[in-house]
Amino acid sequence: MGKTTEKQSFGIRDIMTIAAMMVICFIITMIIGSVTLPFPVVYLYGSAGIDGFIGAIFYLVAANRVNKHGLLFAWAAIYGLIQGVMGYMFLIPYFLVVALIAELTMIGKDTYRNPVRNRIGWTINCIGNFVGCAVPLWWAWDSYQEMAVNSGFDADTLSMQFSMATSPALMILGAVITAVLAILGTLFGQRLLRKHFQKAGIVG
Amino acid sequence: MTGEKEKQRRIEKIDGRTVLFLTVCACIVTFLSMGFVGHGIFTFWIFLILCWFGLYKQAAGCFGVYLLAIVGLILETKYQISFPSPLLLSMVYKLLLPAMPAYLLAKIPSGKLTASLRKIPIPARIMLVLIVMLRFAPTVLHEFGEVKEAMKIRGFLKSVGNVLRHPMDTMEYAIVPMVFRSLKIADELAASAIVRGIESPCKKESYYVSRIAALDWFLMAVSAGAAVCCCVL
Repeated sequence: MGKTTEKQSFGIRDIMTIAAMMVICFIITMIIGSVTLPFPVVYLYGSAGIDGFIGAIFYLVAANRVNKHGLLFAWAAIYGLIQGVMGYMFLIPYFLVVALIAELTMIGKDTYRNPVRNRIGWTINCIGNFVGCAVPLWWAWDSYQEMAVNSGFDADTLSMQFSMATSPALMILGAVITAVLAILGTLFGQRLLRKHFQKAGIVG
Repeated sequence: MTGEKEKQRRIEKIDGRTVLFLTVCACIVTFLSMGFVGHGIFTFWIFLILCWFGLYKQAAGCFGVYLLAIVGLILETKYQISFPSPLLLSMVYKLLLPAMPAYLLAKIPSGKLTASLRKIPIPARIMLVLIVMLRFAPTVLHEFGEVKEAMKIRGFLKSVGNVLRHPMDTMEYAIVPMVFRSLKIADELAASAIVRGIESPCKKESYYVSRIAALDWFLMAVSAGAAVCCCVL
């Protein structure tokens, strides 16, 4: 008989599973971040979506294995804490809010084994990450812009880059790209779950 | 060999909370300092701390990349060069500073780190996830290497064209064994931790003594002062 989403707290096995999946996910995020960073357009609008696409597989493995409320909250909160330790302390409360909203979408029985609910929760988390990725760019932008202007950097190039980083329409476009990639990621992840992990009996 | 022992002895002497404090100071400096001078001075201070703990190679590597990023950024903005992106260099030099004390944090034995962090008011479960992640990262990187080797031997990575033609298949071949191996290690770690009584509700004691000693006070006081000065500069 399949277990339902339990209200009890995480056991050690659950913690280890979450940590293992998060580490892989975070390493992939770092790799994607450093590969896309030289191309600001891709970094700003695409990196969160690519992370969401690949990370969905690890999230789904953890969600289907642990199947306990609080997993998505812990996932997003720990991501925020790591961002904080890496220098973006102002992002910690932001990620806690994202974590809370994402977790609220998972309310209900057996939701962590429900593909649709996982898709919704994961997509919200990824959109939150996308907006969170843009914040440091704005922050780094100020120092870069100040120095660039003082050094006589081409004003047209600067204004073009600035409008790219501040336009609400482009931000919405980025959120849509992120959501599409996150949804595709959960579809791909669900396929891998059925094909490999459920057959092997390591997830429920 | 003696050098290694001395290095380990020094690392074991420092409290996890002190290194966490250093990381927070580095975050504050990297976030608040607007000029290169203040940022550079604090990075040099962290470089010295890493050297004192015997992590010469890592300290020199980080500081070298830091200097390269700053010099690159100055040259790029002066001569209007846009590759590699100045934004990338800006992020590199800003992120390297908190990464250096974070590396020292990762070098502290997990038992000692756990004992130190238990004294900080973080929920125990979240703290445990963070510590396991810190320990798990090198294992995962090693496993990535193993999976990559296996894929090469089986001919899945024979050419870039092959990978680009079948990106989803390549990803599946890489991710599935990676997840299986990681879950196996996670289960073994969980079993080991349970056997050692991690789920016991009673108050935990540690093999390591966790207290803020004179060295910790010194490092924290100097780092806090340096952080304030570097932010003002």
